[in-house]
Amino acid sequence: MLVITEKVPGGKLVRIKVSLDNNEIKNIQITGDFFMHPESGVEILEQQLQNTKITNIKKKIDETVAAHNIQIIGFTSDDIARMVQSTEVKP
Amino acid sequence: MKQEQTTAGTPTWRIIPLSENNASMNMAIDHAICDAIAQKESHATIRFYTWKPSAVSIGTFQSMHDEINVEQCKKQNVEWVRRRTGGGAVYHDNAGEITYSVIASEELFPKGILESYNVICGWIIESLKLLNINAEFKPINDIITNGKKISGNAQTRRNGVLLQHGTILYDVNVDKMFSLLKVPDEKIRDKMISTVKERVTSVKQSSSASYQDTYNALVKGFTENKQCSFGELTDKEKQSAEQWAKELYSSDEWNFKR
Repeated sequence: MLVITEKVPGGKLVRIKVSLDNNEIKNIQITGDFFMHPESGVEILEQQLQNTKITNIKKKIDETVAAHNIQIIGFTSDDIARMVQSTEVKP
Repeated sequence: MKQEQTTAGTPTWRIIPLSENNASMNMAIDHAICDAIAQKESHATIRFYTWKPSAVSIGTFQSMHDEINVEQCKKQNVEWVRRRTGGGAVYHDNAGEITYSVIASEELFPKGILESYNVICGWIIESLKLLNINAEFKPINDIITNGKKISGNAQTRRNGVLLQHGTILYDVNVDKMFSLLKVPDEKIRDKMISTVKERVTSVKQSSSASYQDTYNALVKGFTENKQCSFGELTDKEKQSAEQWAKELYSSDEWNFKR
């Protein structure tokens, strides 16, 4: 499991714990001092991100947020994508 | 403060005066009031409270073990609890802060989250003004004076009910606070403590107001221009709070779920 912590510029502290297999998310947990409305959105996001290629994270988050009417305050889909992609294993 | 008088379209606020509770009960009371208001059984409510014993609360998305040194909490008789609201870890010193909750139908507030923070934080700013402290709202969820944080706030909305709670620092002990909190990197702990000391202040550091003055100012600032009456929890809310405290807020399953 990888842990990536970042104070998002202009946003909140986000800590991602992620297990990757071949640059695909197996498991992800997003913790931190951000806000999300409704709060149950975080579990939906974590679930939806399972088996997502790390190049596809932003799209997956944007789709999930739109489908479930989730409002995130303190980070964006770009931030999560950038943080996880920073761990990418280059061949 | 005006006497209770129900007029169509104008909410009557119930004000629950300062009470002292343990951590799980404080969070459970907020929860019980939210439920009662969602069921239209209780008026919009403002409550003030303190924490006995002192406690740390963490944001609903935080990891307890990442944020809190639970062993130190046990040693220092400090409780810990996960809130229903997002935001960060807060140390609620028994004599060092006052916590408030505003619980009401969402319809009484702007739809936008930041706009509604601005409204309720405006009541805190008014209260601080009564103590000759000039403060301002600093989005997302802080109130600052002279560039330093004096109040932190957090909001959730569920079942049509808005809950915003927050802390107003009366006397801050950053060293004690840090003895209970984990830091991302132990090597920079001392530097973090001095940074926080520079960035956090309190009513005591900013004015000559006593604790009682601070509470009185909060009551005035929060109730001004509202129809209010002092009240207490209903029997049903008390029972429901007991249950939430026992089943949720004192459970490891909830508190350590992340």
